[in-house]
Amino acid sequence: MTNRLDRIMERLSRTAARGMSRRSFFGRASAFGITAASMPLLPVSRANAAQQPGESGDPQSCDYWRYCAIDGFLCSCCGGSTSSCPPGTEPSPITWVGTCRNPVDNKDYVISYNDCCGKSACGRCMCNRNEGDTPVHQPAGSNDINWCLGTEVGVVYNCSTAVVLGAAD
Amino acid sequence: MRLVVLPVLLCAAAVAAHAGGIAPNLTRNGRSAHINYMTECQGCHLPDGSGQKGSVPSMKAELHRFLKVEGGREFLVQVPGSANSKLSDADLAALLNWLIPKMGGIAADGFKPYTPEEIATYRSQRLVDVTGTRAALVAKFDQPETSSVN
Repeated sequence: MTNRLDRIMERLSRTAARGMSRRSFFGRASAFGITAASMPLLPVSRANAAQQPGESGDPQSCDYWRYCAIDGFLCSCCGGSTSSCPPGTEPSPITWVGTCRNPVDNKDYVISYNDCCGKSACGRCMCNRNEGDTPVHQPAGSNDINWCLGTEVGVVYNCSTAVVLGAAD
Repeated sequence: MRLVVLPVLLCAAAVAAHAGGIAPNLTRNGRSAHINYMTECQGCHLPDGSGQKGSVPSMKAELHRFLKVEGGREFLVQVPGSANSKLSDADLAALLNWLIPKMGGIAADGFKPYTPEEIATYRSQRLVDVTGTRAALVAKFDQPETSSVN
């Protein structure tokens, strides 16, 4: 049985080797590899990339430009980033929105300070800058509200993100 | 000539006073209606106006219903989110005139745009019972509301 299988495989391999050059295989494989790798370099329009402003500064530092109106722990120090929550937490669907001036192009951008919720307070990189913060009777601009109220996981606050929504013009 | 103009001006002033008499705040903050929506409303109403079930009513395809019932046009200005916002009467008028066709389920030429004067007049009449007023308006809708706050 084993001998028979061996013979069949041998015959198939020899037939394939006779009909196919190894060089042509390597040629085609590398052509495919190069094409696949260079696809993302083509100058196609990227909607998200176009909106993002020029960056300077350290997202783990409270003086980073996007944090001009934040009040809370920076998600960048807590396992998340300026635009994503740490694993195991849920971003609040409702949020408060402000504007910050970007030092790179000196333009104002609309920033959404979504809270991340569902795990106890991160405790790292507390940042409370409050530029443009309004009293709680004007909630759309107030950072003193626990915005985790809108989440499924509950009102436990973990940290705050600072997502750029677009230029404020 | 001056003697003729003066009574005309006085007359115009009297008409303005009769129509409400509240001088609108015409200051503009220099931002488009969409950006003002983002900073003043979107945090709770969300980018498409769909709101938050159970706490923030949906405006999406719903706002036009208020314009069809008596008192609804006033309500969209007097509701606390509008009336208490940091926007001037001119900016609030621009925002509503952008918002209603954008998310309210009605074409831009399907309703009469708000003027800053109208905004100032409605804004000066404070709503005491917001939820009660809203419920009374919703009860007058032709068809029941598709989403509710409660």
